[in-house]
Amino acid sequence: MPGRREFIKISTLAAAAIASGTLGHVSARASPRWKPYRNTIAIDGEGGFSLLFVGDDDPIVRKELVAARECGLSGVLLTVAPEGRFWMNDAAFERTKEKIATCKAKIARHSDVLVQILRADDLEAADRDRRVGLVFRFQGAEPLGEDSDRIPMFRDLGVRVIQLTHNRRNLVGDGCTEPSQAGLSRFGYEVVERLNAEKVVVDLAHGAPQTIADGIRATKAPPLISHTGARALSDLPRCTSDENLRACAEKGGVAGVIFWPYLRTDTQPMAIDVIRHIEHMIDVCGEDHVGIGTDGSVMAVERTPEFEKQNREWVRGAKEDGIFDKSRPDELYTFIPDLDMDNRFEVLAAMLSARKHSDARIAKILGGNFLRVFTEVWT
Amino acid sequence: MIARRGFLQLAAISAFAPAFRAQAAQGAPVWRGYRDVIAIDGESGLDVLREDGLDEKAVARELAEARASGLSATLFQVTNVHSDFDQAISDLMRVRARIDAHEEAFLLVRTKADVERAHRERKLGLILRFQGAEPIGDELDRVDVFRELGLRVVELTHNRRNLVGDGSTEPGNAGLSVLGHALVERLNAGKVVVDVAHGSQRTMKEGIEASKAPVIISHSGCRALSDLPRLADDDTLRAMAKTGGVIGIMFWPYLVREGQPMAIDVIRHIEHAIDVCGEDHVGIGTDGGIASTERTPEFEKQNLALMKDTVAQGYFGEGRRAEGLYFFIPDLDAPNRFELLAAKLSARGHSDARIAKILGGNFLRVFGEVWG
Repeated sequence: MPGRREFIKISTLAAAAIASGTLGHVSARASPRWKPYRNTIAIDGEGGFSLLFVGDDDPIVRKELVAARECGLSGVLLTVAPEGRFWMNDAAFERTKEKIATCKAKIARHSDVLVQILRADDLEAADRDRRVGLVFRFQGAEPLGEDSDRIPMFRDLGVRVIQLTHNRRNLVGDGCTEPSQAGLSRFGYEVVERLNAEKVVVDLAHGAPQTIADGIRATKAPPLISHTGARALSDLPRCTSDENLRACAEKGGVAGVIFWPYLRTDTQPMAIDVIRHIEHMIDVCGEDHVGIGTDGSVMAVERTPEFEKQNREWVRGAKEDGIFDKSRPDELYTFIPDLDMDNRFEVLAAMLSARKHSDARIAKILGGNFLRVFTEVWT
Repeated sequence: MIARRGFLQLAAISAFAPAFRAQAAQGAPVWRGYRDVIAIDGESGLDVLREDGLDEKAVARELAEARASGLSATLFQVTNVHSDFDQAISDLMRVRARIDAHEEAFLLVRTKADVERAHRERKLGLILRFQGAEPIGDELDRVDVFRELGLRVVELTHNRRNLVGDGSTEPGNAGLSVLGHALVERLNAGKVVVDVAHGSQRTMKEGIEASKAPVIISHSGCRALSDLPRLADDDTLRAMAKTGGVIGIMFWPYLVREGQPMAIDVIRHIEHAIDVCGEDHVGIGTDGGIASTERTPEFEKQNLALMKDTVAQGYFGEGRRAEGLYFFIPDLDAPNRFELLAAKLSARGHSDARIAKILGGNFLRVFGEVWG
């Protein structure tokens, strides 16, 4: 039964934890380069650093700090809650507040490379200072419990994006692994209205199709589908239909292409698959409404024999749980092997450029579109 | 089947409800077999088990009316809707302590035999249940914890969405979630009755489909007679009957689209449910207090305020007037309302055997089957 294993942050945390302490960090920047990259505000719609959640003496900290300097990202949406089995009781609410405090403290400790993003112009400043800006977000409205008054409270604590559901049902809507295709609940409509009023971005990634459709219809501000794929290319519940992509674009929103195996229904996706999804989305909803949400760790994954072994086990479990179809190989990765380097956005930009996409368009996809939404919603 | 003349007579009685009520309160007309049947209410409440600080007089009155009800058992909502685990545990234990404190009048029901014993000893058996699976959260092991503590029925949802399914006031009409399917399976395995009352149409249907044991719709009505989402349509009733389950007809304004329902409306719903799914699958779930209502001016004022709020939320359909609505059936507002209803059913030509099933025999059969 899905839910036995939880998937939030699994790529970031599990993969990074697996890598931790095994080998020195070797993969820094990779070529080919794309010249305008250092003047581009690049934003990952979902990513993270393990250093926020491990002890300061963990060997991964030093390596991730190197990656943070090399990645060239100005912004990363960082999941601060919920994690794992999560019910709406007071203890869970308190845990979320603690986790936010921990993240803030870690960012402060590494303020030479990291900065918390509270306003859109913080992202521009992060770009100038060559720091990685972290945008706090929830993957799932569970920390709100049944109380939409917690939205302004969490906004005060720095949360800027709230994804309505993760893979399962919650009180707001259905996640994509649910069989019943629920749309938004009454409480869900109340939450969307309040998110709009409090200037918090509504994110519909992970939602079931009806929940995505209802969420787009309900929101008055541009929504995100921060990390997903085009269902027309890969007919899986975790990807988004053309209809929903168009509706999202009509509201001024952005869909970010994920770097998970959802991009294909058979073998491991590679950079060319990411590009196919980007190009399809541009065709469907225009270049102003496409971004990237890798859903992986910022630091490149070190593919040691130990990592490969544990990754295969994890993929087998994910197949058992129905996250990936049983017909798929055990050699699947929650990253894109030929984009497994710290500066993957730059490498991808070069590939897009080689396919004759204009620099202006590439800049939008790399982060300009996300920045536009944040500017509109947060201001 | 039902004589036209009988119908008119009853309708005429309904029109003079206040006069009839005085008669009802004295306990007439009666149905001879009543003291020999096991009568079970699919949902009712007792202040003495819930409220703090009742004075002795109020307690004495309620205990007397509980005895006068002639009920052998009632399903009893043991904690508020949306309680979490901790709250539900403490509420459940407090209710049990109060049952024990009045053991001359009450009995905690754990088995079918307990209901039969309550009947023999002229006590009221309390069948503990949740309205909404919220206290279970996503920890299904808690099903066994609660059963151990005496819980015997779990209604999957109340009016709103929870992690399991949708309540009937939700616009999305969701079905069961993955967790919902797992919960039904666990309730079946743990010998706890699945109740889909209050569910959205899809949650009711999918809950019925998912359960391997008989499912009850403990307090509801027939949507074919009153097209409101809180009630069950004929397809749902038939599917429920196929599981061996029971629908309890409730005593709330849902039974009609206009005005206040009276006993004749309860009877219409019972008869429709019998037509659709057979006499083995129909019961009564009043969703009111066991004691009769003292209709003081103060009560009327509070009732109207509450009813206005309920109507404003759209529970009883568009264009409903709150004035004159009650959460009980005025011409059955006596502790022995089951007996009064039995007499009316008898007058309409229903057999004693059938009436006994409707009054509680059907619920008892389901409980025997599920509780094991």
